[in-house]
Parts: sequence; structure tokens; C-alpha cells
Amino acid sequence: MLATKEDILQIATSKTLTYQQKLFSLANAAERMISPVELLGYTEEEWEYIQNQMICDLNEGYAIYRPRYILPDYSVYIKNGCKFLELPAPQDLEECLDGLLILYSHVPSITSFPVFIGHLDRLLEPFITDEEADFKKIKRFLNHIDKTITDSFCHADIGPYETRAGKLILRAVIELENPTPNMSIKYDKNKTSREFAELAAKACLLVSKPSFANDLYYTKDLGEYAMASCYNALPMAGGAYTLTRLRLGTIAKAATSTDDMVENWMPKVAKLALSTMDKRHRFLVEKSNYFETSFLVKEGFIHAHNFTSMLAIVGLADAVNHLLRLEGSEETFGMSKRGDEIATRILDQLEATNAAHTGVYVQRTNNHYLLHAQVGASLHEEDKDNTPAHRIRVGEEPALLEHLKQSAPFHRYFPSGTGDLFAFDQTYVDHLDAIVDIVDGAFALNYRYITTYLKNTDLIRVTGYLVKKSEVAKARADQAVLRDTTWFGSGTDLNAHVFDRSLREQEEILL
Amino acid sequence: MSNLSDIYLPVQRIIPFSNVEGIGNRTSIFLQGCNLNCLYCHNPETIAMVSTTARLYSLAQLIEEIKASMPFIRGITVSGGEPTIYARELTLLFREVKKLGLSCYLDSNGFFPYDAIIDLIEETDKFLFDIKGSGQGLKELCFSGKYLKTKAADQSPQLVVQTEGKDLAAEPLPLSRQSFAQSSNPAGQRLEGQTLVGSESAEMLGRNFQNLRKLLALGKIEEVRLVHIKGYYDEQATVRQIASCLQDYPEVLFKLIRVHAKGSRGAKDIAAHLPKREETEQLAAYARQQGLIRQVVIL
Repeated sequence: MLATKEDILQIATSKTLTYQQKLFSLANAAERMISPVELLGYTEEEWEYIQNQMICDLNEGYAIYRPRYILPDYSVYIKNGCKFLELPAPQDLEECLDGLLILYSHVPSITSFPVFIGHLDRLLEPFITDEEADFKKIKRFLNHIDKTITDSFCHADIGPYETRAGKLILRAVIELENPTPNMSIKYDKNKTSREFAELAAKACLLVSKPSFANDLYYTKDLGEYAMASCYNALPMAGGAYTLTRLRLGTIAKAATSTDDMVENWMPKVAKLALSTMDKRHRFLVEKSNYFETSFLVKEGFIHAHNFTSMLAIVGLADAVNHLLRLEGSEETFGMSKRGDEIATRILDQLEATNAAHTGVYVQRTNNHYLLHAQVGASLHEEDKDNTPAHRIRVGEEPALLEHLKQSAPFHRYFPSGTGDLFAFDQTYVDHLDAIVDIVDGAFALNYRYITTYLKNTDLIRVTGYLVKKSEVAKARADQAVLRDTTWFGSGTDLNAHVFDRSLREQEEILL
Repeated sequence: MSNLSDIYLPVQRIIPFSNVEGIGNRTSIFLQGCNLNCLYCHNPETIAMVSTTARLYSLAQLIEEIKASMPFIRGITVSGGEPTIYARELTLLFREVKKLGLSCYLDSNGFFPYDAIIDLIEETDKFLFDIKGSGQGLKELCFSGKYLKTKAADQSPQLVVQTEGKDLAAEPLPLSRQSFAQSSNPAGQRLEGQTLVGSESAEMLGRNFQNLRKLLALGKIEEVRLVHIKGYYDEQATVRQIASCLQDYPEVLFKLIRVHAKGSRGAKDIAAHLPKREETEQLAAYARQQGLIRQVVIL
């Protein structure tokens, strides 16, 4: 979407934005002042499909000057320090934590905040000497991140191996109850100790993180990777230039039948999205000079050849529901065998269209873009008709067992990330073994990513990131709030009622 | 005999995912029928041998239900009612379930004829063992007919269960019921329709502890439960007795549950015997002193 002078004024005079939020919003508006038809060479048809909301560019902007997601290899700092920032290699935990915080403020992204802050346990483990003293330092460090990186798309990774640092990090996140950083444990039951997995499950229930990433599966697909932002799996020391979404729920409204959707609309809109991505990459790599100027490139934190891009979907459920209606069925996606068949046809078609397209500057992923199941957003009215990713609409979910089995087959399409999430009741806190069994079961069915939380906590996972319900209430009362993700969470809840996601209760029969 | 489609069990309900019946995520199967009749029973609908809300499942159907929860479960737990009264059917079921790589647990009150169900014990990985208490007070707490709504004795020996269009009168008697009918255990007496009250010797009332000791020696006990209710058994003596059994088995969990009236039939009678929270906490502390360190207290 193009920005206007009115947008600039509205941002500048807003009553609810903090200073920093205004600054970043103004920068984003500036990127959208120049038409992509003029600047990037979008065709009129490409632009039309962005305008009609079938393609959503997430307001990334057109005067592009950095990749959307950057995943630095922070071990470069541990080994060499950073010349550009005049930081020597750290000698102890305090220097390490301090240096990382400095680095984070120099790692850009689409949000201007770092979306990946490292495999924290691996980075810190060599410096752990006195667990109690080190715990305090780690807790302060994590709290510092929450208060200065005011955007919960910031993501830390831990695992797969149990470490002292990993356990201290989990202990600290449980005590802090902060939205940021988002966190994943790379989990492999053959590498991760049961004890560490259960501690992670406990943290996941109590403070909605870390989520469990299927380490074996992602490594097979991507090689060296990390989880960033919501749950984006991307090459390490690289990242993603862009993420462009197909609103399947919107596209389906134009289709006259399932065949029309699968055979005509899917390839047509997907090809238009893919060609806009090509053009964005060319501008970024050839004209923005990002890769020529960034110290991250010069010092080996990232490499231009490690970048790829994400072609994403939202609204699979809405598209399928619409097509079921056209077929005369009253069933809904999630509880419909036919619905799953339609969904599979749509995704098979998308996968084939993407595979047939040769991407630009993405040799790291075999010259193809990666499909991604996006967590949703509320940028337009149409987002109300586009449920996140391939998720079932809230309120239409089957029982837990059926839900897990229904969703599992769709994970395979999305090597750059997907995930489902389940709210559990309090009894599971005392039965972490049962949670890890469910994770093991999900991964055995080739789930890529799974997360849980307790429904009755303030800190909850909206779709792929965390918000405090209390902060959402403030934002809805038109008060300024610390985190931009709070607005997104509020909007997504209004659209998709995610705060009301079905609670998985354990029928407790003890006697 | 071994055709799994021809052998049936009366099932009150199946919970595909349960986190409270043994370690990990398990499928729980609640069978219909119990050899006891505890005042505080929270699943009283499972006590009678006869129930309109139970349904007959063939072993083959049960295995399909269990398979549907794979790979999310690490095993199954059969509860009830008292599952050991269906020892012969369960022995066959467990043999099949183990072929799926799943563990098999039993949730039992411990009042079973050990030698008569030895095959089932061999197939059972762990017991969740519910010690009801000790001494003569158990007669009233667990063996009284006071709250029994349905008198099994008055019914035909055929199970009355809901099925989908199947003529149950044509179904064979469950194997175990035939065998138990010939034995001299409480279950058998129930099945024969005799009153339980007054027929228990001290030897029989102590059978649960005898069985507990034997199973501990085999490494087949995962947890020992005690529902804390006042006035029916000597609480400290019972705890000491449990502690004495478990002293060489520190890995076994002791679960102390404060009785609560909600959901049970004898709500008024229980109210008079309800321990205060502090009293249950004190009993838990006493249990710790006696060496029951690994414990969970549900207040």
C-alpha cells in the first residue's frame, strides 16, 4: 500500500504512539511513498493484485534498504569480537552479555529490531562459572532485551542439547514473564534430555515460551538454520529478503468452484506474487547497497549467499470453507474430510507453482523460495476472512487428538515455518511428561513446530508472538503501550478471537 | 477364544489423552463394574456390574481406539470400576497392546486374588495402587451396600449395556466373570450376588497390603494412593503400613488425596468425615517423617 502525506501527519500527531514508534512508523511510510511500479518495475497487473488484497506485501515498503529478516551468526562475535563496534572478543559472561546487547542494536530487520538474537545457550555456555551469580546476570540481560527491543518478533533459540546456560535461561524467562524475546527450543528427542524438554514444557505452559521446533526435520530441509521472528525457519548467517502473503480466503471469493480455485486462481496469483518478490530482491541486492555497507557482511556475521525469501499463505481455512459452500457442503475446515482434500489440492498446486519458478539470488535454497504459513495480521478488512496459516478457525476446532492429526499433514509444505498452538489447563503443569509425549507424537507425525500455553495467564501467544492481555486492554483504551506487537495482537484478536482459542481440558478422574 | 473380535469388555468411557493415570500421556479406559462400593467413589456409575451407560467393546475395537491415539501416547491405563475382575480379557488385550510398543497400566484397589490373575500381573507394566485403608472400618467404607443403587444380584447375569444394534443376550459371558464366579474372592461373591457385609475375614481385609508387597517386589508399582477420610481407618497406622511397604522402593510415588464430597453419592455422610486441609497436610508431613518422601498431595 502506498503512503500519503496524510499518513505522515497522522503518525506525527498520534496520541497513542510513543516517540520511537512514531519514528519507525514514519520511516516505514517513507518507504511506501514511491510507487513500486515506478521504482521496482512492478507490472500494472502485479500492483492490481496487491491493491485487490489477494497479495499482501505486509507494508514492507518499496524503497527497500535491508532484508526483512537477518539471522546473524553471533558466534563470530564470541570468537573474533567486532571490529566495526570496536568490541574485543568477550572474556567473561558480563562482557559477552554486554557485547551482545550492543550488537543487537545494530541488527536491522523489517521492524528495525533484531528478529534473531542467537542460540543463546550455546553463546553463553562457555562463560558459565557460578550458576547463581550467572543466573542474575542472565535474568538482567533478558529483561534488558524486553524493555529495549520493544517488539516481540525478537526471537532467541535454545537447544537441542541441555546446557547449564539453557536451564538458567529457562528459569529466568519463567521468573520474568516478559513477552520478549520470543523463544524456540530446537528439540530432538535423541539429543535433548527429557529433563530439559520437561523444563522447556513447563516454561511454555507458564510463560508461553519456548515453543518446540522439530530440529531433525528443519535440519533436513534447511541445513544450518535458526528460528526467527514468529516461527520463521531460515538459513543461519543469512535470512529472508522478503515475505509476501497470499490471502487464500480472499482469492477463493473470486473462484467459481474448487477446480477454478486450484487450476486457475492459485497459479495465477502465486506467479504474480513470485515475480514481485524477484523484483524486490533485485532492488535490494543490486541497488540498495545493503550488502556493501553492512559490517555484519564484512565481518562474516551474515553472507549474502545465505538469504532466501518466503512465499506465505494465510486463510486456508476460509478458502476451504468457501469452496465447501460452493460444493453444497455445510462442513467446516478442521472437521471435514472433503475440506482436507480441498486444502491439499490448493497446497499441492502452490507447491508446484513455486517449484516451477526460478528465484532470484536464492542459491542457498536451490534457487527457489520457501513456502511459509504466516501467523496472520490485521492490515485490512480482508484479514478478517483470512485465518492465520493453515489453522482451523477459532471456535471450529475439533478435540485435541483430532486437531493434531488434522493439522499434521499440512506442515510438510512449509519449510520456512508453520506451527500450531494449543491452550492447556492448569493440570498439565503437574504433568509435563504428558506435554512432552504430545510433542513427541506431533513430531512423529512430521509436525514442524508446536507450542502451548495456559489459558488463564496474562502473557499469551496470539498466533506466533507473545502479548500481555493487560497491555492489549491498555491499547484498546487508547493509551500508549511499550510494544508495537501489542497493537498487532489486539487487531488479530478482534479478527480471529484468538484469546478464545479452545481450551484443552483434562478430565481429572483420580478415584 | 483368542479371536479379538469375539471377546468383549464393558466400557464406561475412554479418555484418549489422560495425564493423571500414570506417567506420560496415556489413553485411559474405564471399565464397568467394581468389587467394592466405596462411600466416596467419584465414578459411582462404574460400580454396578450392570449399567445402561456402559457399552460393550470387543478387544479388537478397543485396540482400534487405542491406535487412534498413537503416536501421542506412551501407553494405556485400564481403570474402572475394578479392572482386575476382567483379568482374562485384559491379559489378552495387554498382549496385543504391547505389540504396539505401548505400556499397560492397571488402576486397582488391590483386593484381587493374586494367584488367579497371575497372567494379567505378568502382562501389566505398572499398577496404580489405591490403598483404601486398613482394619475393620473398611467394611463400612468400601464393602457396604448402603449406597448401591443397582443390585447386581437382582439382575440377569447378562450385562445390560448400550450397543449399536447388537443383541447382547446372544453374547457370551465375559470370561473372567465365569472364572470369578467360581472363586472365593470379593469380586466373585459380588458376582454371585451375595452380600459382602459380614463375610470379610481380617485376612481378606488385609489382602490389599499383601498384594502390594508382592507387586513391589516385582517392580510393578508406580504409585500408591490413599484417600484421606476420617473415622474409617487409623490414618497414621495406615500411613505407617504404607511406609513400611515402600521403604525399599523410594521411586514409588505416594499420592495423598483429601476426600471431597462433590460428585459422590454419600455427600452428607462424607461431610462428617471430611478432614480439614491442615489435617491432610499434617498427615502428609507425617508420611514424610515415615519415609514417604516422594509424594503428591491433592487438597
